[in-house]
Amino acid sequence: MTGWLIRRLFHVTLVMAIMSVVIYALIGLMPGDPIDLMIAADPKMTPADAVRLRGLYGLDLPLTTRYWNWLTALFSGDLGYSRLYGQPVGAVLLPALAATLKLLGLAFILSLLIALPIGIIAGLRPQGVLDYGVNFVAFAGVSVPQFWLALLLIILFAVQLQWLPAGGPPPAGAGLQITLIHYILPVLCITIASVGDHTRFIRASVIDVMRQDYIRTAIAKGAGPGRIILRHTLRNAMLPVVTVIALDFGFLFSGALITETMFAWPGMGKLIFDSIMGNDFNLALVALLLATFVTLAGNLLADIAYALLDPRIRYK
Amino acid sequence: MRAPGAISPLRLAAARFVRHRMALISAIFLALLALLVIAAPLIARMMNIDPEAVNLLTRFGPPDGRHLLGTDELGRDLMLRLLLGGQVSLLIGLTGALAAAVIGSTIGLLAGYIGGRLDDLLMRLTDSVIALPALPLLIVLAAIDLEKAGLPASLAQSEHVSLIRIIVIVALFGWVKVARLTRAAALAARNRDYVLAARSVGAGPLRIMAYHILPNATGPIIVATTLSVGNVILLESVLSFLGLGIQPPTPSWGNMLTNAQELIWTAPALAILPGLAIFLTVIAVNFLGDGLQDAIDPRSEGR
Amino acid sequence: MTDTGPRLLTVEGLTVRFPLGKGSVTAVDGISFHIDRGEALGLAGESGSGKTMAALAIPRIIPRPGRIDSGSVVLDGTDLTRLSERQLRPVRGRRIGMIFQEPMSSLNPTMTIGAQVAETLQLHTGLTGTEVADHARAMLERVRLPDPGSMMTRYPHQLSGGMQQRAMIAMALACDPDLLIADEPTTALDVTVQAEILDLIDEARRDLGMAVLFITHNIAVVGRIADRLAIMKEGRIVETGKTAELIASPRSDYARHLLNAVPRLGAGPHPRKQQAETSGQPVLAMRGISKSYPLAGGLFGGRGRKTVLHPTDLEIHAGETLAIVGASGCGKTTLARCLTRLIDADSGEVMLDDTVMGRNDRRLRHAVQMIFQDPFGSLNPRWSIRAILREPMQIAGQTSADQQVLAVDRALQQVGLDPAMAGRYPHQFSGGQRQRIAIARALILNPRVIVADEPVSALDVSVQAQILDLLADLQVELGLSILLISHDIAVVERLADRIAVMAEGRIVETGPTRDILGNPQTPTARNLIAAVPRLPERAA
Repeated sequence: MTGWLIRRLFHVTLVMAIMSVVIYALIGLMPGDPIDLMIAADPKMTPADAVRLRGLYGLDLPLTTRYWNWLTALFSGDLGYSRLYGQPVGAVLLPALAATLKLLGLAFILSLLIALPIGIIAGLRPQGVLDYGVNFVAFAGVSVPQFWLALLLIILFAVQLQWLPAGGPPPAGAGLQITLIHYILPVLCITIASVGDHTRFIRASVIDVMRQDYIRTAIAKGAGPGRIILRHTLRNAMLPVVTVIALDFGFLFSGALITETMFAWPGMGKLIFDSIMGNDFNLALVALLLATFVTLAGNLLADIAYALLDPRIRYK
Repeated sequence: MRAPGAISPLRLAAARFVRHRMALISAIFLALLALLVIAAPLIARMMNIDPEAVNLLTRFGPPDGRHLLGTDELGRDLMLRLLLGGQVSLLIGLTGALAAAVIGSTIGLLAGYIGGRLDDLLMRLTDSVIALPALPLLIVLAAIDLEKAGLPASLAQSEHVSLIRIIVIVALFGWVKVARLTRAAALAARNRDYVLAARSVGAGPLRIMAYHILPNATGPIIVATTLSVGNVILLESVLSFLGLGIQPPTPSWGNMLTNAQELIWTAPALAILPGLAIFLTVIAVNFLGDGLQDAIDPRSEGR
Repeated sequence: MTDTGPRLLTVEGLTVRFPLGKGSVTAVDGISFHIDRGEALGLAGESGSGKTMAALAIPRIIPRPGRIDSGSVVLDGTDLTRLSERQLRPVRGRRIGMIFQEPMSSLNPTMTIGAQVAETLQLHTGLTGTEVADHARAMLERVRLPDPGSMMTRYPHQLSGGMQQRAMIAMALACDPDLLIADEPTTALDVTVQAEILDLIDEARRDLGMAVLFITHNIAVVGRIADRLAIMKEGRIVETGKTAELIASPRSDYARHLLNAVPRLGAGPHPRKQQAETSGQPVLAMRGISKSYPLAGGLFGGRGRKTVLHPTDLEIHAGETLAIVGASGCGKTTLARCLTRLIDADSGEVMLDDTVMGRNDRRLRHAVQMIFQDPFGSLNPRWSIRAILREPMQIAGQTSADQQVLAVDRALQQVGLDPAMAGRYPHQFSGGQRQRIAIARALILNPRVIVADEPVSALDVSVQAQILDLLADLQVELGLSILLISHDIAVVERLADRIAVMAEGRIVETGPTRDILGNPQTPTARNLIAAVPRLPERAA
């Protein structure tokens, strides 16, 4: 398994390296460049000044050289300066990452807490009434546009009923109750979008395992339903679910972008969107890379969990 | 050439599909929607309404005999805007998913049938694309300046470019599911004896891929493509909603919601109906895909 | 045969149905039989006869939506069909142990062997943790798994098929049951392992005084260990009797038919078989062909190679049947695929009439045709029979469409099928019919050599005989050479002029069929001959 882990780590590093080039190149293709923005901001600047500034910032160098310079600076700890926030990129990024991870973590746990029991029960009795109901609700969750869902939630709970705040993070120093209240809508929004998929995967996996010969063996041994579910079904059914959920981290992050934008949540998603829209290239670049890294790392962790759960991989 | 008593696998699948009630309802719904949406310009002419005509005097008009669903913030007929928006959304959903299916099935077929190092490489690529945070990267792709990317200005600023750009972008991220499923099917078919039998009478790799592997992978490809139509519609709506997809005045269900947050009080229909249209279309597409899945693989039971 | 005690199990009028649409399919149709204590009953029948469903109905583990419609299953005075699920649990595993056809899929992949054997004990005994572990280890020893201590902590995928089946037996016997139900326990195993598992079951039965219900499709397999036989056909028992008597003088036509179809050694060659010339210029030959595969090594590859075929020479003469026999994994299929150049050999060359054949050489592709083992996998399910049979001609590209259709009709007639069925699809045919279609496809280009890779091993015994007869007839009629690959020496005897015995990637022994069977020189050949299940002697 050590060899496998080394290969996976190598793979993640490789993807990160490739993505850093791709993202760097793409950000370079954003409309407008920093100098144009300076010219726009300062009418006294002449074209000659612009050329001089380009030289000063190294913008006249070839792309590969600029990428290399940026990369070496990155590894020496210089992430650059955010134009939009007027702070070093690192100082902007870290609190945002924390805010996103809290939001996603809560939503992810909530989604699994709902999906696990429902998916298992529906999977044990496929074609039952509950199964149809679950299937329908799951499809609805997968099919709803997340930004529109956020809109409806705001209309209903914040505006109409006035039970919950329409957005924004909990104010600094707020008590537990106030803090929780601010989390409800954003967490709900991400959960609804992912719980359907999770339930469907768990259900399908349970159905699949219940059809296996080794379940028949367990019944023939005299095991009761409780034991069959707990000892024979769950672990085997969770294996494919772990991989599927691992692949979901990217999707989850996409959901965070929408939700954070809709609920004015100061996380990575909103930061990425605002920095791209606000031409804050330094910030956008590092934020995108960090987002990629976080999803890949989550993926790797899930892969490791899978390997630990499945002896067929552990003892290879 | 149909012999008496011949029952093709296709007919068996069709029989199973019809039994799937939600899928059947969805198929009918989608067919009606497609008809309506295609007929939108015709309907506009019949009703003698110009869907693009701005009339600030009739803003936020309530539903009446002339404007069946009322008017929007610029006094345009909401129903016609919805139908025209549906045209764009469905067009992007279909073409985006088809483009993704072409890329995905080619990659999946090559990986699955040729195997070896190529398979390793392609599957690692697929895994990586699946793992990436799609939406942030889509936003970057949607925001880049095509002139800077080397596209001639005339082309970069043409009317259709936002449409084509969004199709390309969704296809770029949408092919992975099709690729995985096609690869699995190709891998399974590759070791089947009928492929060996074909090789033993001298069939080359192209003939085998086209006649033996692809037909046996069509089921999963069709299902994956159908399901990705729904995903593409959702992606398009987000990007357009954020102002990065289809640009007004061309309506799409996504960009019709851009101002919804401000309009929610003055005209709730404007905030609700386009979203409902997306929701119903995507859920119908998903039910359709589910039904097709069951029809093609009776053992799957809605995976 | 052992002495048997008082009545253990009585099955009366058992009917199992599967609801289908508005009606239902009857899998088991009112069968009655009994088993005495310590007795071994063989329940034999071809696929679809309902024998497995009858066995699963005893502890009531029929797959959904099937259910017992009527009848009783009385074990020691208790009717199991009247018990609730909860009441049945102490019966399953404790009084009735079961083993199944596929040991790999019947074992839980994420539980250790030890835990799975221990589970039976935990469910039915009040033993403590260490007692359970000790007992489980003793069970593994009893089924003669090597190194039982480390076996406890191993997972199923780390064991061979034979070892997995031993673990299953340990699990089934852990609580010393009164009845062992064995559902085709050797079918999925290698020939040479089959006999060992049979011996193990028979030994355990004698030691424990346990009754055995042995389900099989091959009468010869149960002939060795069953006291009595019951023959099933289409959900009904058509005949029961003492094993020796039933085999010696079957009363029903179906039992006679089944018995006649069982391939057995010493039956001699097929009556129409003519002695072929096995010297002189070979039609097809391979010289020094070898093949190895890289071991799985991931991205960077290269952790050595596994040789599956050492440099090998082989010749097939006109009108001759050469059989390659060997256990699974001995390299016989690799040899066939190298010979037909379906895979590229590492070294050596293939020659047709003294001409070296390149890859995808058209002459080779026309002269040599293949028949495969699995009649369900060898026909493209999306194609009609006509399209399947036309494909070789289309690739060869020498005939018009009309000629092709005529050739299809002719080939179907040759293999005994109605040309009117050419428009149908593979799933509409039975296994035997599909194998006929596969043979028709092999004949359609008028080949000189047919390579048949286990052509009958996936078929029911009665169908096996028909397909073997067909091959023999076609060989005489068309003067074909046949390379027959099989693990079953009894099948080979009917057709082969010469036999080549393979083991671990080498041909270890070659000779005329009679010599190999009568006087085998190598242990491999002797083992293969010994592995053929034999019916007890009967009056001809």
